[in-house]
Amino acid sequence: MRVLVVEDYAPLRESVAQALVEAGYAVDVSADGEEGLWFAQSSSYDVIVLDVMLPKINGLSVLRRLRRREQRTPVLLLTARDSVDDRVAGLDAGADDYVIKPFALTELLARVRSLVRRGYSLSGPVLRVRDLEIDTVSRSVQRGETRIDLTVREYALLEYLALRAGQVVSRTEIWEHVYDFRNEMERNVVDVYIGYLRKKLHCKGRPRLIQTCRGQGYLLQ
Amino acid sequence: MKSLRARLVAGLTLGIAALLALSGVVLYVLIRASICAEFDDALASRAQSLGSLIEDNEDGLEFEATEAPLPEFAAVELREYFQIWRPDGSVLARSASLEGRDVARSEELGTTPTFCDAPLPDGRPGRFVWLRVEARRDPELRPAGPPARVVLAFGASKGRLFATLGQVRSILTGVSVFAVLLATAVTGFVVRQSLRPVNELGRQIKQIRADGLSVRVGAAAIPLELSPIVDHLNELLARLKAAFEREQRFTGDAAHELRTPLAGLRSKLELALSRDRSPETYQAALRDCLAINLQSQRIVESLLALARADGRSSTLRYEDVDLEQLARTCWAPMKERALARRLTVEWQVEPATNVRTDRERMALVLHNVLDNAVTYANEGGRLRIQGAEANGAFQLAVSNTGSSVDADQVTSVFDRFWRGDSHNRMSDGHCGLGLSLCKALLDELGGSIRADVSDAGVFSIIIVLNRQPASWVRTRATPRDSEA
Repeated sequence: MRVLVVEDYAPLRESVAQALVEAGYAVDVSADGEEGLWFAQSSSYDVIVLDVMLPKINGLSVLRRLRRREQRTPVLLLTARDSVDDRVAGLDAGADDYVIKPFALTELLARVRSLVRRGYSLSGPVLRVRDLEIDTVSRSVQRGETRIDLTVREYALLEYLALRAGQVVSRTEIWEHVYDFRNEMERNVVDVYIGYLRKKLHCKGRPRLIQTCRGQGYLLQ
Repeated sequence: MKSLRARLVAGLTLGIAALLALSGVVLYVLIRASICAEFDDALASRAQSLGSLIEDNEDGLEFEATEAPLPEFAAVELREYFQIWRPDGSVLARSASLEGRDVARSEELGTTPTFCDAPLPDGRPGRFVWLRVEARRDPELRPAGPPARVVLAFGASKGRLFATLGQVRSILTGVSVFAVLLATAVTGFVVRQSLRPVNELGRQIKQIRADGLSVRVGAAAIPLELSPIVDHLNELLARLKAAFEREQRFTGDAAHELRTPLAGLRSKLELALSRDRSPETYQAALRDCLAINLQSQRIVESLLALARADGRSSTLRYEDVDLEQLARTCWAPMKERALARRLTVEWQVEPATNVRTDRERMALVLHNVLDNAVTYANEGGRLRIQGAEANGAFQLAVSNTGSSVDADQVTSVFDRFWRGDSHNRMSDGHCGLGLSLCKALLDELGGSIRADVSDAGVFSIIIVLNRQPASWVRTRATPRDSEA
């Protein structure tokens, strides 16, 4: 999952980004509204964490501009302003959630997870594809009764495929949304990780879960 | 608390009552005089007609009707009293009503009738007219000598006069009382109607709440006398609203500025504790937390100083302060930073210029202004500190190049928590309180501060200390030095 963090206060920006990275998200950061808007418009994000009081372009203006362009990415507003008017203004500008500073990092992560689920129209934290079960909170994977241990990258890739289960996911989409493949020099890193996943998910006598659609991408079903 | 309405009604009623009483008395006096004159005229005319009954013939003087009471005079109240004296003083005739007594004779008798009050034989008050009457003569008898002149006294009871006057008094009193009652009612009504706008205004004012200061009172039908009050009240409301909004904005901003570093601190700590990390990572996290803590401390101190300056909670300690010396002391800790940013610094301050001010507060002002200049000057830019006496006041200007403040933003730099967009929030250690604090401090010290920006991007803060200008002491000429 790729998350954009737009926050001008460096210590907060750094620790939120770090916490998201450690939670398995691919994170882009920006320190002002103008740059943040550019990021949000030029890439596809699963969640945008947006501060309200930003230099150059105010967070609410960024949000309104995104919504005017029909960009439906879930947005979580991060602000120290806690009055009802402020919250109403934020939600009316098109925000999906509102977190007041100071906040617990665990709560922020839970809200981000919830927004990711909402973005993919899921109701609960557990993803199920046939006999495969992915708990997005504990980040554990199980096939039937067998527990499968995955690395952070493998888990992120599988979670993204599971969120889009039944759909063909292109390499570019994986590139965009999952972890930091963008930082990899090797273009075939996605294929390599798909190979790792297939091996780990393989169970004797059970069908293959990840299929390759030639020229299009991968399909989990 | 006295009611304005009651006071108006009482005052107006009293006024009307006094006016009515005065006019009643005057009217009564006039009517009384007229009735009395009429009474006297009637007496005189009756006496004249009695006099015409006296005849002077060869038998001497004769009164033709010695007993003349007409039937209508039978009543006691209408009874007539008369006595006629011959010229020699002997009584010619006397009415039976006098019951044989004499009427007290008036001493001085002229040609005109003389009136006087005298008691009647039955003790009731009466009024008499005295006059000399020529006795009638038969021309055929042609008696010798002038006709005899008799003295005639005619009187009547004053009972009827008193009754008439009493009636007049009753009518006047009744009318006056009725008029006063009517006036009270009318005044009450008029006053109530006239005071309705005041009541309406009171109702409107009562409805104003602290969270609804945008309402304005007395929109329609406000009398001329109330409009200055309404205007001033509305002005006051507008000022109150602005003050409330300013206060709310400030509270919001303060909360924001304090919460942001708190959020930073919490997230840094939570992140560090979320898993086992290397000692270096913990050290880095602790360093970050310390930096955030110091920054929060600065904000809190600025807020406190601002609150103190606003609330005038501490007393000022005035002393002669050498501004040049003070500015150099404040500059010392910034030298290194200026050097690191390769700033060229020019000092053009008149040395040994003493100003009577509060040293601590002035130091805080200078520290903030100089710190801002070092922070916001462009890398390798120029800083100029100028100080000189001008127009009887000491003026200190601190300018820096590379400003991103627009000309239309210049007045905003003194707003609390205002920061230009070019700098990341608080990453430079500034929270936007410094200049508003300077302004509050200079207001307290009786000085002024303003900002200016030139087309070339030179931003200047100009401080003018005009308090007690007589206390300037200059001891040296103005050398100039510069340091890089």
